[in-house]
Formats: sequence, structure tokens, C-alpha cells
Amino acid sequence: MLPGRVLDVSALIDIAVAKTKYARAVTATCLSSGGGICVPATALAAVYSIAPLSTQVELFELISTPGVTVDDFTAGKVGDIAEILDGSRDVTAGHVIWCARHTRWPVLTDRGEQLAAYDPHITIDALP
Amino acid sequence: MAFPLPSRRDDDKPGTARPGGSNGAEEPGVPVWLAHRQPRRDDPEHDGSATSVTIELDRADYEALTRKARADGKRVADVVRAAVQREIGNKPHVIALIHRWDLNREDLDSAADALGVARLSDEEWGQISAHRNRRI
Repeated sequence: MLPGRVLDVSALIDIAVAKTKYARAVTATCLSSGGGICVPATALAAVYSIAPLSTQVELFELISTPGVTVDDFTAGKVGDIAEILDGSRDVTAGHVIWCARHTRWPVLTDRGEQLAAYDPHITIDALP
Repeated sequence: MAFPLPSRRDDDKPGTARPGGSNGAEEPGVPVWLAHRQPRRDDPEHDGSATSVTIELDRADYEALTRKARADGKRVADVVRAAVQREIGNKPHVIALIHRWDLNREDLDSAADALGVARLSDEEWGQISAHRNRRI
């Protein structure tokens, strides 16, 4: 199977501000190996709302690269995501898990335990 | 303060359609509603240099391919072309990202280990470095 990752909010922040190089290196390696990257639109919106303007260009470069897909939050996914959330209001987490289920790619995140509580079957790639 | 209006050429009258964004004066007589049937100049299928390849797939792969095409509302050829583009076409973009993000070989090697894929070969790293040197 070709490598791929679903990028959670923390991974996108890591790409934007380069706190570590891990998210950037994993992303570049996935793409250079012919794999893909999935960016949930809800996670991207969350990052845009807090990332400094000067770092947002890195995210633009990321989503403009072939092999990177921004997954839109559409009406057709509402039922599935509501079921994942089961009463929680963290729509971003629900969307990230929805993307992980559909791509079967691990989620690159710093909140693996929290996401695994929604769905223990998803694979987590923990940020260092 | 007044600004001059851009001049309009004689053959470019208001309301005249330009199919495919090309110059209407060079390709007259194609109505707008038939424009999508006209071969485009940038279409690789129609530029005379397209090459065909025969691929043997097992039944499961073929069915998965047709299912994917149907789900995306595309043709099977489009799905295959997208896969080829993903495999080959994104290399320059990825190299640009590697430079932009200042990733070195150790970063990429440890990422390859984490992903369980092959590390960059010396030849591939040479390509990336050559790009970097050219930019400097």
C-alpha cells in the first residue's frame, strides 16, 4: 500500500511553524514515494484561524502540491461524522477520523489518545 | 481622475464567444454549445504525440478501477492518468517542498523509516541536491 497520512491540526501547525521537522519530512516522503496526504478542511480552517499570517504560505504550498487532497466537509458526511462524535462537539476530530477511515491512512497528530477514544481502530502516527 | 478604457479589437465584439479561450478570429464558426466537442490544443490526446499502453489487470483490480472511475464521475483512462501524474508528475513539486522546508537527508531517511518505505537512493538525493545548487 502506498504511504499516506491524514494531517490533524497539530500536524498542520508543525508544518506551518516547523516546531519539529517531523511533519514536514513525513509529508515530503509520503509524496515522493507516490503516496498521498489528506488535509481535512475543518482542521485546515482551525489552523488558519490561529497560525500567524507569515506561516500560512507554507500551508498554501502544501495544499497546492499534487498528491495532497483537501477533504471538504460536505452534507453527505454529516451523518457519519455525527455518529463518530457521539455527543462530542469536536467536529474537527470527527472529520479527521472520517478521513482516516476512508483513506485507511494513519493520523499524524499529537492527540492520539483523544482520537483513539472516538475510534480505537484508526492508526496514530504520533508527533514527537 | 479619468483612466483610458482598454481598446477592443475590431473582431472582438461584445457577446462574441471564444471557444476554449482561444482567439475567435483564428477558429471561426464554433458555437458555444459545441465548444466542448472541439479538440483542445493542449489536450495530450489530440496533439499527435500520445502513446497508448496496454496494462493487464486481474479482475479485482479492474473492478476496483471501474468502481473508482464511476464514483468520481470520470473515465477509467482519467483515473489511470491521474495515478501516473501522482507517481511521476509530482516529483518536481516535492523537490521544491524539500528545498522550501530545508529538509536534509537525515530528516527524510528517518521519515522513510517511520513510513516503512525505501530511503532515498544516492541518485535521488543527487537530483535533489543538484536542484538545490542550481537554485543557489
